[in-house]
Amino acid sequence: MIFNSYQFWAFFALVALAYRFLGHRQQNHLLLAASYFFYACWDWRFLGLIIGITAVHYVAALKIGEGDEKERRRWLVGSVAISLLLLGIFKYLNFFIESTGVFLGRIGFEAHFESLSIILPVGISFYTFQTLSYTIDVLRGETKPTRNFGDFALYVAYFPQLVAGPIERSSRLLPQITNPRKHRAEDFTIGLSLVMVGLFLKVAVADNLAFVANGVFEAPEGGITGTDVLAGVYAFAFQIYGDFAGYSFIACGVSRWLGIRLMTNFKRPYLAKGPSDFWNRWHISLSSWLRDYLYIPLGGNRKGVGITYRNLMLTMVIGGLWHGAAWTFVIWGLIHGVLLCLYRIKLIKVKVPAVVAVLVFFHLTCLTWLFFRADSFGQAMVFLELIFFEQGLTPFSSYAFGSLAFFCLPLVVAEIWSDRKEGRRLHHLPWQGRAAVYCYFVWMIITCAPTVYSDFIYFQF
Amino acid sequence: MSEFRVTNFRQELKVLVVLVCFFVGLELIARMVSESLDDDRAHIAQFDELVGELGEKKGAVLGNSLLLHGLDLEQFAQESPDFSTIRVTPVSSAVLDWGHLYERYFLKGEELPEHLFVGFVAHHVDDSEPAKLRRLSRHFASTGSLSQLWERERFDFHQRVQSGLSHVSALIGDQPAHRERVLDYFIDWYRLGLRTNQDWVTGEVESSVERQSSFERMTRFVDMVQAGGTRLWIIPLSQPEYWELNPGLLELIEKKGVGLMDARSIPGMTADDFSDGYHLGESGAEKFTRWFAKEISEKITQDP
Repeated sequence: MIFNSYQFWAFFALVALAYRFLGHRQQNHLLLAASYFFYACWDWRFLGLIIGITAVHYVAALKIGEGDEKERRRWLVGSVAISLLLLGIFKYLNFFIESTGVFLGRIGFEAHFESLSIILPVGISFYTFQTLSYTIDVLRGETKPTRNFGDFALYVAYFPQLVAGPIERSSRLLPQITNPRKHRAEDFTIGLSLVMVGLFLKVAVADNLAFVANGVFEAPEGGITGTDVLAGVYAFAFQIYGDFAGYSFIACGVSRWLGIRLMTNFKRPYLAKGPSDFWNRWHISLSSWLRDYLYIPLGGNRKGVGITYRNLMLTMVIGGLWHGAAWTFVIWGLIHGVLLCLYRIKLIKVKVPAVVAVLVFFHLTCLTWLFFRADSFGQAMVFLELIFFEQGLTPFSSYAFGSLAFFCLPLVVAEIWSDRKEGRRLHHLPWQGRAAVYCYFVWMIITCAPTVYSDFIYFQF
Repeated sequence: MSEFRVTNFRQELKVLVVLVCFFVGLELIARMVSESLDDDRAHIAQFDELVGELGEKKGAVLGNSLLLHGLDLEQFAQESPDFSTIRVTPVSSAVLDWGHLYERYFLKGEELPEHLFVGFVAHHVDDSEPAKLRRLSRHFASTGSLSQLWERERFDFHQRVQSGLSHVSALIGDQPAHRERVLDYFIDWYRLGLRTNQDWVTGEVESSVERQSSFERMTRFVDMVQAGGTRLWIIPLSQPEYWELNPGLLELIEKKGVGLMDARSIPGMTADDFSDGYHLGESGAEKFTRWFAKEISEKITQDP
């Protein structure tokens, strides 16, 4: 049940209608039932998994809240270990088996390991991190453990953000669940603008450019030029942005209609001037999670230059692995780690104009996307060679760049407009302006939607 | 631009009303330009008229662009003066489309053809051929047959809504054609680039998918045509490389008493007779039309 399907909107209309007529506690019960139904629509067999993880962290947090220091740590380690073990089995076991086989083969041992047929439960990385943050926050004293299992279960499974985030902190989301919600007059307007932007990003931008990017990454060897590859990488950059940011915007919008505010997950990331700036704009809920629960506990930048760089690299590699069990994701994380270190060293002392900094870093980001999207490290290297040594304009690259301009140029202009004054949003326009922009969105969504829809990329994470 | 003023649901209704009006305007434009969107839609708009000619013509040729380019009706009229036919050949159509359009346009007409000739290559009659949901729902399926279509093709909720909307809305039903017109206007080399893009994407998909052949759609189509007393002929068409007929299909046509006119290997037809490696060019159409007229003469007019 994806956000750009009629199923979802029929489901949401029913939930929202019933929601309006219920009191606070009943609303929570309804949202929890709806969230489990939503999750069961993906694969009902994993309902037990999410309820199990919820129960583990619910009990652990209560015990942490009550116990002495030693017991608190024991409960934390136990609950974190169970969560990571489950995540490891479902997400990383096959990767580990295959990589071990390859490694043993390389050092001369014949090893034949059978991969296991394990289905990845949708959203497991998101709700695992969300529950971990809750338990750790309880240990740190930043959140009080909740005694109401239903409220906690809703915090873990709240359907707008269940399968692809944002990864919400308990200190932000849980009070909105446990306390009666205040509906504000502007909720509908803001929710509508978020949903419209999200649908535009997903249907018009991401799905159209997915087709271009898929074409390039699936093209037969020798059949493409460096210009085609470049267009394909740009297309993927906007595909993954439109796809993920689009999902997040819709999640925030529908949640707003329910009176629950989710955190902003994207803030015009391709206008970042450097890696730190980028990670303050891209998948903010994950980058802040990694900062608060990994980078800072490792020592952050407080233990000397060497340790700082080690922490940056480690954080980004784990961030890469969070996205998926493949070496290409590890390399993606590594490159981001290296970029963070290099920008920290400030090798280039010359102060460059903002527009140059943005363009340079956008291309560095695209370099990382090449490894992220490539089927293998080998393919990424072949593509890099093509980009640098075999440029050649073809009808395909003309079509691909034309598609990029048609689908992304208005978006880029709007983002620059929004970025020039922090806090400027679509819903700040007068109603005539909003109506005009929504008409453009509707036209693009209806007329220019691709014939084949793509799944949301981040569901696989 | 001023500070954000708090607007409530009622005030936002103005925006929603503009959106609804905009949609209605787009829909009206889509209905007005529907027949002139492309040659295919112009052809579809003539279906009623074409089927109306059946009173004076004995046969109907049903197919897609392969027969649109492959059969020269003027030459056929000269080569086969005793047997006249209409031609209904919407591009990119397959047996699912033919079944629905036959029901919508032919069965509701006053006359049914005495002979119906259906031209295809392997995938057009296989159940694994993907349904082109919007066009099928808009132009081929009748209102009464929509629910059957959803049941038989096991459409999910999203597809059912999409199909229903396509049936009633020209904007949604003809969306792929609108999209193509818009993007073709704005993007250089759009069609050629898109074709390359499709080849790369589908090449990857097809190499990883093993087709399981089944012919439920074809079986229903045969039953429907024969129930009206029409003699059905199938024509496996020429391709640059000879292709095998599926044994399951052969079994079906034998069991149902369907006539076979095998055009897979027409004497004298070579790869040069194809304009793009798939459709027949001028010389190929001439050879096919002559062969078809001869087949009709041998199998129908001389031996009814």
